[in-house]
Amino acid sequence: MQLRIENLSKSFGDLNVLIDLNYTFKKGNIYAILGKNGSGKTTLFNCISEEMEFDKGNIYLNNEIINHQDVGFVYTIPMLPEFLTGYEFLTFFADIHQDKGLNRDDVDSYFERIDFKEDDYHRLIKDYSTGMKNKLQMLCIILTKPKVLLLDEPLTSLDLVAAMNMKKELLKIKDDTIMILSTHILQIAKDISDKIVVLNKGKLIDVDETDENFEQTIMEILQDE
Amino acid sequence: MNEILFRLKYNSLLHWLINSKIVSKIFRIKENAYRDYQLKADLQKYMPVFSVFYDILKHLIYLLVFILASFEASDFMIWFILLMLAGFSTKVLDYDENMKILFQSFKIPFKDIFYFKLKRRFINRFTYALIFPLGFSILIKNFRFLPFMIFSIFFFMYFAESFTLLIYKMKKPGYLQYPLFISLILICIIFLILQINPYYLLILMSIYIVVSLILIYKQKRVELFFDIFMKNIKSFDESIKSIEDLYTKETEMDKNVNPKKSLSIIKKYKSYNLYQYLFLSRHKRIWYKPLRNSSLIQLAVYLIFTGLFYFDALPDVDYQMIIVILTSAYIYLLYALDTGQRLIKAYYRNGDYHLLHYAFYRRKNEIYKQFLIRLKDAFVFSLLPITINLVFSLIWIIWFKMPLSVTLNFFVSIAFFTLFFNINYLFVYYIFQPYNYSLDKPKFVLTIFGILTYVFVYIDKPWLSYKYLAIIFIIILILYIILSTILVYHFTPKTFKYRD
Repeated sequence: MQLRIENLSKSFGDLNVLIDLNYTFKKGNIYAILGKNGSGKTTLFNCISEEMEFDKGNIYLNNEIINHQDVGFVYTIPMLPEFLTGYEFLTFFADIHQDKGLNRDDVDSYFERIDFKEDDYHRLIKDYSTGMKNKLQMLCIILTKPKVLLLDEPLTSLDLVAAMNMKKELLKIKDDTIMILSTHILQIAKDISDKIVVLNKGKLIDVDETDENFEQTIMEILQDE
Repeated sequence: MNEILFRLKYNSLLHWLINSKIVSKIFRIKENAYRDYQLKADLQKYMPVFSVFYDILKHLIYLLVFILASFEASDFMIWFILLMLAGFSTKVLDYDENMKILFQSFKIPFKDIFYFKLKRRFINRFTYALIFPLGFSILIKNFRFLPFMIFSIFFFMYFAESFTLLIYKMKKPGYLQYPLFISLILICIIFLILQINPYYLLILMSIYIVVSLILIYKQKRVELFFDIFMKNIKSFDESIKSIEDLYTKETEMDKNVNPKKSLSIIKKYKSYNLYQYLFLSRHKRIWYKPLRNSSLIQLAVYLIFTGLFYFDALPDVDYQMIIVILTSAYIYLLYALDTGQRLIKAYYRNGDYHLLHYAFYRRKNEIYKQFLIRLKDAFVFSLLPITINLVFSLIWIIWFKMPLSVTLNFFVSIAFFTLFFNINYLFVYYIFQPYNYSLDKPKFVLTIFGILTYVFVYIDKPWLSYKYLAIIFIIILILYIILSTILVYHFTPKTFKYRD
């Protein structure tokens, strides 16, 4: 399974964010896209998930035009209906995704995977901390095992233990999915990914992680204005 | 200062001009022109001209709306509203984001800003003070009071600002300013109603103008005015927040939510039924309270009329007229409560906006499934008022021998509008999705719909006496529901999206 991007271009007014971008992501790898703030990481994700129309190009999943139903998108700001409790939301989510093997009777075990205390199960989501909301959102997306998993700035708002647990969860599903995460923190990219790709001047550039000067290379690419 | 303001304010306008193909071709504006300071400076010369035309057009539109509204409202009510607007929309001493920047970043003196704003608003005030009284006089076909009206509008504009300056030391000037302001308007209206020569009032107004001018002139220290201005600026962020709160408060979930009951609810409901049940049970203040209150009002009014019929207290009154009044009042009540719109706002802001970020929530079948559940609930909300109406209609027909056709028209009209106000916003929501997250920039289609509803609510309703009204309403409602449901099924995957 592979995700192929061909000649993707996207601009906002006279600002060209993605310029004839070509790249192929393969299943079984975790890709980390590094880029400066405003380099177009979120725009690229929005194009892949069809949440934003692009000006030119094509995105294929296994040689077919990608369908947004194949994409799971974990947002930087957690998107959850805050009038529900965590338990209610997971139950509702499991009901909807029965076809993907989710079961409302397993909600307790889902919570255990993200280290929620039992007291928190029945609290309203609006009273959760941002880290808790992030964990819940990421769990929901991971549970649906999407073919393509996009993670926009994940782990940054999680504490050390939560980040380690989420990393384990991501590694569990790595073999069955194309996983792409965006970050501007090099350490996160190094820790979790198999391949680091730099987004600069609207294009994706591969970086060889085995090269001992690869950090220097990244800096040079990003500073090359 | 003009240059700074121009840079601050008109960049977006220029950008829009450039992006508009026709305009850019006519004026030969190139794509990078908005960076060209010289071009900006040139265009600035034309801005006041656009501004004047815009003001005149705006006031003409307002006038049109007032004329439409006046078919039902009294003339003096309109005059009252005009005077209120004159005073409350006066904003020379007010502030905005641009003023804040001028003050804090560019250190422009207060006096310069004050006079600059005064000059800029002169044309706006002039058109308002001229167009409205003229339109109003044409409407009531009486030009006797025209000079008085023009002068009084100018006076109220002056009063709103001068009084702020005079009482600047008070901690909460609104307590004194607004009651006084409203009292003055009432005095003006009494003068008009009783046909007292308004020039007596003009003498009082002139005295106020002279005295206040002397007092303001005596306050030579510019810092006093600066203080007032700064006081406003300090509260700028708070003001913006309070405006935002107005939108969000409207859709807030109930405060006394008890999640402990949720396990029993989870056992009972599944999937979207679970979601919808929990949503409604935690937003009762949005749908349940208005429904309860309106039903109580409806019940009380029907009981009063039943009592009047029973004691034969309305022997000479036309039954048809009573029905028209009751139906009009009911439609106005539904419009004022606006439950349908408040509910879809809450659907969007508290749930759908977040869930539309998930792929599953955008599937055609999932959207349709949830739409049908919400449509069913809209019908359920209508049951109580329709039942009350049915019971009383039957009592009036059987007991008081009221004409069957008129009472049937009444029953069907009430049922039709109850259902219409509950389900129509739901259709609009799914087909146009008119909101952004902060609910402050609804799509134009919703504004148009709002204006049409407003006009409809206020205009005369001669169709209430049509012989076949009941059949027509039933057919319209059935067709409307079928057509809208088909549209929702086919188009919502493209239209039902989140907007930031």
